[in-house]
Amino acid sequence: MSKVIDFYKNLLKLANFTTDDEGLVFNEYDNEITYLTIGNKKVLLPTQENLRRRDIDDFTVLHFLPENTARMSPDIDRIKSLINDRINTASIFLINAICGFLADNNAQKDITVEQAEFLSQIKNFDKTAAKNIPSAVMKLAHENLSNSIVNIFIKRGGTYKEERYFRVANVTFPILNKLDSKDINKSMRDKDYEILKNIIESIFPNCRVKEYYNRGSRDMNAPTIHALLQSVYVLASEINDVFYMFKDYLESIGLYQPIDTDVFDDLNNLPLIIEESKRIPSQSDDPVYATPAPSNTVSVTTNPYAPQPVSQMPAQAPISPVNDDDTVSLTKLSMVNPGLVPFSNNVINPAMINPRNNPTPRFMQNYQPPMPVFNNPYNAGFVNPNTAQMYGQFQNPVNPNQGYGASPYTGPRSNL
Amino acid sequence: MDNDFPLDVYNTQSNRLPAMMPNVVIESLILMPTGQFQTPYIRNYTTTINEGTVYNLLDKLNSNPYDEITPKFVANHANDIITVNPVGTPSNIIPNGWSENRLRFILVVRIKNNRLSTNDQIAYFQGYTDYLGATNTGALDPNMIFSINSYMVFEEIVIPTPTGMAKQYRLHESSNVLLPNSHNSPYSSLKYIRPNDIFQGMQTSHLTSIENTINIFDYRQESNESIKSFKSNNNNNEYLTKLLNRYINGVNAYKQSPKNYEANRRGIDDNDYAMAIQTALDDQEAMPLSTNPFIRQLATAYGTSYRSVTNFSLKILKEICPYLDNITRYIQPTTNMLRSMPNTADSQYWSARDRETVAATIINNSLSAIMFDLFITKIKLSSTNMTVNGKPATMIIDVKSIVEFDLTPNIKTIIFRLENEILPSITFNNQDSYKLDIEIDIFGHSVINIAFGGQEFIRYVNPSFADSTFLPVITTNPETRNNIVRDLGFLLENVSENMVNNNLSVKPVVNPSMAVNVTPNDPFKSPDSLKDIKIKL
Repeated sequence: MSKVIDFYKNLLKLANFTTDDEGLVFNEYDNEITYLTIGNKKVLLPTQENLRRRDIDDFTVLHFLPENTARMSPDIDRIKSLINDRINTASIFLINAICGFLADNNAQKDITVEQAEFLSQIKNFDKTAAKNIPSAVMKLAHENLSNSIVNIFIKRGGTYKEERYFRVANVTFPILNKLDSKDINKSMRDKDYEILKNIIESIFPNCRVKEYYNRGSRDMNAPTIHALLQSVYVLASEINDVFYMFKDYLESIGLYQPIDTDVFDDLNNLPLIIEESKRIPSQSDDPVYATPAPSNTVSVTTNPYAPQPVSQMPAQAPISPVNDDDTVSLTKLSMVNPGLVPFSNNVINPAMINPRNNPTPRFMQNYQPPMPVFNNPYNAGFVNPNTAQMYGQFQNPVNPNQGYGASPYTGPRSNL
Repeated sequence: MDNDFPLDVYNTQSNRLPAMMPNVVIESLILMPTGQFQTPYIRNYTTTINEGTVYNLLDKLNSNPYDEITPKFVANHANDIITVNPVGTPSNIIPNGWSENRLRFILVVRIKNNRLSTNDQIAYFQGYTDYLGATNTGALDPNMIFSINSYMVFEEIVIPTPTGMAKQYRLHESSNVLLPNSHNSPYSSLKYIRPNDIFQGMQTSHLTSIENTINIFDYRQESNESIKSFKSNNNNNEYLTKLLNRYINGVNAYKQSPKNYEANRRGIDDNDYAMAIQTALDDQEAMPLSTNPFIRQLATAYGTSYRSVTNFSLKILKEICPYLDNITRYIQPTTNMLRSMPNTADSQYWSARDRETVAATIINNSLSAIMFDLFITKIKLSSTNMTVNGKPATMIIDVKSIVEFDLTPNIKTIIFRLENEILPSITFNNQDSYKLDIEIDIFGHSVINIAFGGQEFIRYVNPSFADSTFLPVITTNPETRNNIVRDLGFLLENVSENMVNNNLSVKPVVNPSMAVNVTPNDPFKSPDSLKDIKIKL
């Protein structure tokens, strides 16, 4: 069972959650532990010991493999939104860090060639922009974190590069529309919009390219997770490239927190993981999913010993990362209390502080997108029809225009 | 005695003539005390529908040369698609709780048939009482409530053979008795997911899309009286097989009947689909319990407006059978029996969600259902695949039956079905090693010792005498019923639409000059597919 448990652990690490020895999922920030909960119950990993606990009904067991694609699974939704939030918070942190680096004359003494080349894309930067841009980005995060910078939408039966897939991860950049229409913050100048646009386009160089970050999946048993992780792989590698580029600077202020990438090693082992996961009885038909949690209780509750009324906090908390002496203090940014941030569903520390995770990045500076591997059926973006025939993907007498994942059961199809 | 037990709805009348019925003869009533049990958990069926499971099932079905699908044929895939829910709900239906010592009973009824050239039916009613209402001398409390849990009806045929007269037995029906779940019943939280309920749910969703409303109330989901669920529904392989057989064959038969030419021409709407699914319903299972003469006679004795009564007291039974005292046998437990009686401390609790608990539930449900089919009431066996060649090996230690004939073929059948139908889905086609040590008494309790991967045995004890209170076709969550209806409807419609008819069985030969509505693949798609066939008139 260890492969499945490790996969879940890595998946949660990608979303900046860790697990303790017991299997409880939590997020630690500033010596305060925040447990992940679904349906007002703490989330447990499906280890053998946990499944035999007498008080197992007081927990929600996280186990959704193999996926039941005929209906949308709430725990996969949660994992997806947690990962989406992690991508957004990492991006927001990078935007703020770049602003801080540009405003900090001492940090620029040891600037490397790559950093200079990267920063040369950001033009007309000044101290006012160093104030305005982080507050504007934080305002977006407060409004709707999962829809602030990057949004990942899992579409069933979608098309990617003019081919049908069971699931397609659709990556959009909602901030680009807001930058074009210039309706983020009244204090933003036109110049600031241009600078923020430059920063985003330098972090995600292909954000204007259609379907560049999209990925599709024809995985039979876990198409949602497979499509999601492929897209996140591309996004996370670009974010981690920037992290790695500014590693010395971020380490000097103690905030080097790239996105954890262990789960992408498991992506190639997905068939084996699925086979093992069948040995654990699927827990996704838990009655806690049938009754949605009341809206006043946020899905991620805080430590029960120190409960925080998250949703009642004012939106404009003292989160301005700008000091009075015109130098951006990232340390202060990292000290934003997650309880003060009423994010969409998930309370995520904007600074993504987790001192336990500090892995060395495996994405080198000269990162290239993965090359197509033709005889890997799980490489869904590049399916060679000849090898796909070998793997039986097109042999089934199924109309490709109405694949099984296309729609849930809603009665007969209208074209019959 | 628990006053909440819903017997007060039956107004017992005294000073009436005995409601004897000459055709219903009670032959014996056997009572025996039970032990105490861990609270069983209701583990309803749950589905996993994704591209992998549907494709695998479709490939398997397309390789079937016959119209009929057997449980063994889908056994390798049934557990991927439909299994019992590891997230259980404690079963609180039984009166006085599970730690109560109570009596279990077996009531043997002979239903005489006055028609010529037919034989008598023998019915075994099996159930439990609400408490241990018996003294050491065997005197019984006349107000103790008996609840029928399940029954089997079979026919005894005596035929002449070259070696003399021989007995043959034909099973007519074996069913569990489900409690009434109408809105004024104390069990209104129960929802049932028998195959018929799945089909009816699919019909309702079709009708809902006609009316464009969600306010259709399906009165068939609620029952004022006890209903029955076939024992075979408890075997997940047979459950899936029944759904597939009845949907594919029934709906195709409806589509191809000449009556529907007009519907094929104008196009198929939701109403036609709902009517087509009507042919898939199992009418025998939908028959009310009152078709059984004994149950109808019980209701007559009560004098209620209810047609079927499944709870009774000895007082009422004596109205049907005045000589009841002569045929009642109370088995006073001996010291050895008392020692081997289960108590709550000697077995694993059922609340866990691990693989062993799920496997023990599946084995108990499926094996008892098979035993009912084969007239085997008690079996003791051990099985393992930790053998020299890795194949499963099963050893039968003891078998008991209620009928008198050579059980050798039945024992061979039960070994074969255990190894080829139940165990492949649990061991993932013999990939995982297992050890089993089973003792099942379908009228008593069952003990299942199970171990995977060379671990220690885990001992589960299951009160089989009251299994109607925790069947896999019961759920307490109305959302679960909707989910499983949607999932299985999705599965059935996709499978039946995409099946390739390469069967070897006899099909009507399509002569293009005569073909009106029959196309080789799917005649129901005729509005589009008819364009491909040139009709010469």
